[in-house]
Amino acid sequence: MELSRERRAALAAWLAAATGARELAIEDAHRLGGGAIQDNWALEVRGRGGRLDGRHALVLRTDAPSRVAVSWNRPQEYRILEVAFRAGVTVPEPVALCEDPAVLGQPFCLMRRAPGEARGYKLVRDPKVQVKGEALVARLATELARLHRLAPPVEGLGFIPLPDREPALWRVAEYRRHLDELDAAEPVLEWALAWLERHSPRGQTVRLVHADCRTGNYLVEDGELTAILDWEFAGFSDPLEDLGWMLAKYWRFGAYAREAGGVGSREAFLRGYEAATGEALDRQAVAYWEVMATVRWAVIALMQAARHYAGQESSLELALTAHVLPVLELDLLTRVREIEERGR
Amino acid sequence: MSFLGATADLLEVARTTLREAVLPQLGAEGRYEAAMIGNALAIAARELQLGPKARAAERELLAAFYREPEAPLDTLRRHLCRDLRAGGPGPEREAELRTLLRATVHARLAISNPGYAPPPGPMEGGQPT
Repeated sequence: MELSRERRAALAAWLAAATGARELAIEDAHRLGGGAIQDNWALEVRGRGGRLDGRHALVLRTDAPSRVAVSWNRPQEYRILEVAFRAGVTVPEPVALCEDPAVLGQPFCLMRRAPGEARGYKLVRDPKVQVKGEALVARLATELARLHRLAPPVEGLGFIPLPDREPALWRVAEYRRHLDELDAAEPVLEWALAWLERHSPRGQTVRLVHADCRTGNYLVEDGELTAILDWEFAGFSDPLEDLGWMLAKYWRFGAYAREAGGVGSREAFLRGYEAATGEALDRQAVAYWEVMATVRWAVIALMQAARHYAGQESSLELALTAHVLPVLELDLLTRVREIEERGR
Repeated sequence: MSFLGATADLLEVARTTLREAVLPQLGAEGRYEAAMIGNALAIAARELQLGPKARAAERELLAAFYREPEAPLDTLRRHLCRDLRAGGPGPEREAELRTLLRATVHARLAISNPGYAPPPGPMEGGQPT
């Protein structure tokens, strides 16, 4: 999307009405680097009267031309963000949602802009993060535990499907369905899915999960968490899914020794979670969900690559995503062997 | 030989030119894209050199696994996927299967991302001795 002069004016008028401002000006707008799925803009807004009185730093978020089938659209993501914000999770404060495509050509939402850096390769090399990494991952675990208090039904989130069986087996069926839709014959992924089917952990529960909380999707300033971002994959599943995703080797951005997202230790992360919930974690079940996370990312990578190779959206970035597959396949073979040898 | 067939050399010189003549002149904006282009050229060059051999080797392993010496690779891969989906090929063949999968993954890594893992030694996935 481009923000032409006309669109900026339309946006300012709409936002003034939505926030009850007498006057509202967009003083600056520039595109933020962002995911392959959304289009994000940083806005500086000055309002007179209403909810945005004074000067405010906001983020405007719209859908990129095509989306991954498993991600929510902007209005749905906004509902999830509102729920997380009300639950006390550290997220950008939701400001307004516009579902009328007449304003910008597509639905969009606005939230307050939290300060900090999200890019994984920067964070894992940041000296302040290296000093405060243990506290940072414990804090992330606390935030996830807060989110995981929410069990279905959650008001406003009726559009999110509930697992029709144990969450792990439900995910296995979902990923097999995606592979079939892609007509992909990937033996290592099928092998891992068969292993996951045979080892589905006991005692699974169903809670609201972020499903993409990993380094790269949260903001850090001076080594401290300022916001958890990117709620477009949130769903109802076993809460350990979020822990496995955070621990998956791929998301360490090369800082492999710090097993929690390349920024802190596995134990600092898991103990932080246990401290917040007051319950001991099953370390073997957490390891199981790491395998699940690796399969999930492999399936999403295939779907993203398919967007390019099927001609929906020509993109070098999407095309190259196919080449993360062998890395994930080796991670799967190695992690399963470790779990079998060490029990976790 | 004809210069028109020297594709590996063409990709290599394109990559060197990108790295030495183009990258130093770019600001922050284009660097990410240039790095992606360099990566794509490198993958294409390795695919040219290693791809056919890697696929032939994978086909041989799968053909031996299923005792179907003439079957093409895609047929064999789909056979294995169907088998795994249906609960096969069974615990007694699990070790053999994992050795096969690991060899295939290392061959794919050698093209997509050779820096990620050292090539396996004579033992399955173990350290070279």
